[in-house]
Amino acid sequence: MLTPAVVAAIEDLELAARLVVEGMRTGNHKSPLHGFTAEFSEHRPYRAGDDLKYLDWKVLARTDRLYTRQFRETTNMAVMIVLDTSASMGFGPGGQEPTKLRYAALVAAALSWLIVEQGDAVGVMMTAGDNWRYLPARSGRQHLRALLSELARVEPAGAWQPERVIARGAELLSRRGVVIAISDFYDAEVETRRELRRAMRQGHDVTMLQVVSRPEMTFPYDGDLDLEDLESGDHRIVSAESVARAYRASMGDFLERCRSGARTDGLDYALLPTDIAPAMALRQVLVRRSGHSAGTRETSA
Amino acid sequence: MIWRNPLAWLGIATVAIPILVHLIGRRKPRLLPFPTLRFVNIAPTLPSRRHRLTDLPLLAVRVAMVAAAVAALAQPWWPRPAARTSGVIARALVVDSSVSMTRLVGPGRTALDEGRDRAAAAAAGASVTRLVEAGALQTALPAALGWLATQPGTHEIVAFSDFQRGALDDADIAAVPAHVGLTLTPIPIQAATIGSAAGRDAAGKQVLGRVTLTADATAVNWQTLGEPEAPSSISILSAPADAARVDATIAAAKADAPPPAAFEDRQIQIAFPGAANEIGLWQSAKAIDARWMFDVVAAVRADATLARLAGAGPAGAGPPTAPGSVSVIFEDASGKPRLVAGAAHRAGNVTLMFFSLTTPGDLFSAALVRAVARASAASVPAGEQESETIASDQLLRWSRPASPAPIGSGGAADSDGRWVWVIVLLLLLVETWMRRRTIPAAPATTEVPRARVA
Repeated sequence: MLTPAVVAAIEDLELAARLVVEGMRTGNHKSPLHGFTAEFSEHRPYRAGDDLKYLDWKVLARTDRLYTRQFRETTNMAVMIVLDTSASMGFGPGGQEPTKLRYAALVAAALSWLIVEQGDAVGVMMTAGDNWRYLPARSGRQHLRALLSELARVEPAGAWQPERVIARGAELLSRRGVVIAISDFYDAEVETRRELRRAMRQGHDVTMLQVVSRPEMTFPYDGDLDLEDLESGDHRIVSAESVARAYRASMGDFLERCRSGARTDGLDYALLPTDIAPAMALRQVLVRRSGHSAGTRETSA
Repeated sequence: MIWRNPLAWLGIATVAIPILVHLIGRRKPRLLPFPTLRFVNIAPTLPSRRHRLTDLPLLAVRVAMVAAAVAALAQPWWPRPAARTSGVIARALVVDSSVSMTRLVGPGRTALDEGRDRAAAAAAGASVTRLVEAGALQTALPAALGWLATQPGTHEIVAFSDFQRGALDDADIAAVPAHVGLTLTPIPIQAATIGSAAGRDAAGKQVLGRVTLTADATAVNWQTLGEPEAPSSISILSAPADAARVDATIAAAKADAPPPAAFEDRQIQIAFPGAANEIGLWQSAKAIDARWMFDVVAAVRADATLARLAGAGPAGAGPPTAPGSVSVIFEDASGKPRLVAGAAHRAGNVTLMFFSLTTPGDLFSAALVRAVARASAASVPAGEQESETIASDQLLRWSRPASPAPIGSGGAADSDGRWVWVIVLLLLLVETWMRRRTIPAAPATTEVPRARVA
């Protein structure tokens, strides 16, 4: 499985996303992406992990080749990915590991790849400073390339504005769909939760993907530090040893608050440390979603 | 444990230096861009670097390093347990080897020989000894003390000397630590024999003249041989018929007393015509081959009186046989040899031979004896000619038994504090390591360079 460092080293986001998806599909685990529908769409070569019940036995008998039947879903699912591009997402542990924004963009790209591949529509909503940057939810390869291109150009800047990006992203979904918010959720905690609840009330399926780096959780520094807030530019000189314990406790409380708040509000929630392989993180998200929405969604595989 | 330099502990105040450095030193904090400060707001920020001690392990190492350096300067010393050094006697045997110790204490036996023998006997009973020979006691005692300082146990000095007056004084004794035992053993000089001359008396017997020096007079005592032969530095060989002439010659030589001869191991013979085994003497004479012989011959040749008499006297008879490798020192007016010199090797002894080709009794022969005596005399320091000795009661007052060495004056077997400097060095290495230990790098906020994958 590709490590975060390797994936981060691949500049082509489309290629990186495809590698993540392929890495997620290969292996001994059953693919969580299979849906079912009555309308046959096309054949594709059998891949390891495909359910044998979708294997076209007649074709196998005639041609001695393995093909899996694909079905067109009867109702297209629309997904809006809300990506936090604030300055705080530009933080990374250094070395070969990617920044949080790079990691989040990669996860978003891989998700988009999967969504489009299964025939659903996907869009992205983010801000670039004070400007909007979004693509409406659509399907198709051409749209996917435009979306991936947009994700590849994101740079960390400004602040997280949940009342704008989440609310607007939910509004852009013309019908009930899925809203996936990818952020560290550090800022505007109350507003973020409020907007996510509002999106849920609008009938959307809402997922929180919280991206953090390991040093943010463990604070492994020592000596005297001049901490500079990436968003506000404020400085605070602290002794790492004296603040580490309180910091870790406060950070742990915050993460637990996010997780429990999501559960209380009925949201899907996943914590994505940037030192975990993106494919593994994506698999966990999808397995969680598969279990969460089993029987309620009609998806095609 | 004893501190040999306790005043150095005043330097312990310097441990305040690293503490002050830690308090005053301002190390610029590392700039660390961080996603948010909301989780560090609850922590107290650094109010002032001047009131905080940071990196306490490093501070502790620095304080320990300074304290160890001060301790090393204070020179800690750990004496060996007394049980391990009790009964150990270190004895320095000092033997005076000055020129005056070459005087005789008996037939053929010098005071130096006697001193060495007594020193060897005095070594018995000591755990460890060292023989120290020196031309002056003033230099021998410090050398002995220097050796004793490296030895454990009880320290003793046993000195053997003729103790001429002025050889030691109270200052020399005071320089010897009180715990060092001191035994001063005088070597009695039988007679102040300074020089001697041999000859034959009127009866033809060989006689020996001893030149003795006392405080108020110089005397020559003649001794008829036939008795145990005493060593002689100058022997006169002549025909028995010339005995009276020899006496006259020696008497003339005594009129102008030569300086004392100090080298009784330098055998010199003056042979006149008609001496016993004259031909054998001539034939056994070889070229002189010792440095001291050259010195003596050169001095004789430089004697102006002898040179003048050699040319003025009657012609000689010439060598009785063909001379070997002898050296002609003087010739007479006709050009014949008047005085020649050579070396005779007999039974391992080397003798400087002077052959006079004229019979004794004239002025030349008397001048020859005097010149040879002078030439063979060593230049003896005036102090070595002192005939008076230090009073025995004075020597007894200076002598004293040994006492246990005071703490802090032990030898190399005791442990001193030099290893404390090793601790200082180790602490310095630890301090350097702690200063340079790896500090986690601040996370980068920019994306890592990404490889382009086609």
